[in-house]
Amino acid sequence: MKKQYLSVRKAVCVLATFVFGSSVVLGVSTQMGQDSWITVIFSQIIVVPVILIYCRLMRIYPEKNLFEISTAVFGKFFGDLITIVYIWYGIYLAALVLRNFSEFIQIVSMPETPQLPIMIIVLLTAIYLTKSGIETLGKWATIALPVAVAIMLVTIFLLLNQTDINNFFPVLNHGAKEIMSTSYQVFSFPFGETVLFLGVADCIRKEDSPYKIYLLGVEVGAAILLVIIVRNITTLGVPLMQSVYFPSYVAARIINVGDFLVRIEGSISMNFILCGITKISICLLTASKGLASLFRIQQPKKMVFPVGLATLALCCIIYRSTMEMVRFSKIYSVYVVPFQILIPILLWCGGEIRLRFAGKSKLSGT
Amino acid sequence: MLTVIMIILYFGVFFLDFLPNFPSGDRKGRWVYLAFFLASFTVIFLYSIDIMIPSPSPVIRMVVEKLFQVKA
Repeated sequence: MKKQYLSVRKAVCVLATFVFGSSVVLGVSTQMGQDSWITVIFSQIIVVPVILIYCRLMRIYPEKNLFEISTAVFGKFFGDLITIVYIWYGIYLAALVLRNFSEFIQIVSMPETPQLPIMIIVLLTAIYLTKSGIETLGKWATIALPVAVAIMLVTIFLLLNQTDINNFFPVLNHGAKEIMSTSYQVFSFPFGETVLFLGVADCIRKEDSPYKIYLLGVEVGAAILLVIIVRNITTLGVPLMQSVYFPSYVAARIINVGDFLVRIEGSISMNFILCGITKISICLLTASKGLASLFRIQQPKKMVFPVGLATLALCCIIYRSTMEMVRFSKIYSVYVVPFQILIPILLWCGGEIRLRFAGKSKLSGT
Repeated sequence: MLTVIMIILYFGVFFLDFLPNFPSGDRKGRWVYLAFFLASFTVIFLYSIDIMIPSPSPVIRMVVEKLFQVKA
């Protein structure tokens, strides 16, 4: 079967939609109030070096995915251990995003409907997209990204009459320590989660620059997030933004142009669906590739459904309530350190050492 | 009702995905598929009849709190 590849443009779109997949509705670092936009900018201090490590891994091992890289660096046994770790992370992250979806839909539009049917519908869509292949996912993202950006721009334009620039003041109301620790939280959710994109790194052509793809994709996502945060602060103000679970949705809800154009908050749900499904699909694809690699199964696509069902099961039991989901975010940023930072650094160091030895043995051979 | 929905889902997955993908051979793939299929079926079935299954989140929280002294 012909191997499917992602072009640079599609890969950038996939990464950008992945970055603001669930953050587009959940909001980012709302606890920092008017300073939350600063945390997104500061988070890039951590994001860029970590992403450069991911890119370097892709450069050392072109057209190889995370699981092939870990086996190549640490051998079969430790490679399989790392594979298990990332299968868990892929399923876990997909379950978290799916849960965000079902909580969001239940809270804003279907309070009487149980979450399970909502989860099943969203998951089946994501599974279909995943099984269609990475090229289709890329095409989907190339359409989803402009639509999501257009919706965001339209809401900003329609909210101009509600905007109050004074909501930004006082700037730097929080201490440096608080801002830095929240910046790290912003790194772990959503930027560090892009480590799962390494699971589909084998679909990037050798001649395409991973640096261009990763940096452009993540920074486009960061820019969109920044604009969303600025919009939410200026329109909602700090107290309202902090008191709601889904600030973007509430911001769109107050749009009122001449008592004629009102209640267009559904557009925000559309954003969430377009980008959230991309994020779930990448998680499912990475986990199913990992599972196929672990058990030496030829076609990873065959493993998409079992991985999806495991995601559904985990999603059902992961949290008891929305409050628990929100409270877990602080723990989450610590819990994901091994997945997002430690293991990639180990792989990078191992990869560099192997590269040096391979280079030396080549030289001594000639 | 939830139980009916999930049983329909699992019937669908079994007949439309499992059987066409694993007609014969590939025993390993078949066993992996069935293991995930049955484990998730059990969890979702219990969830659908309102039996609470322990979530991994409290364990993760406990480990992180003990190791890094972080409070949620």
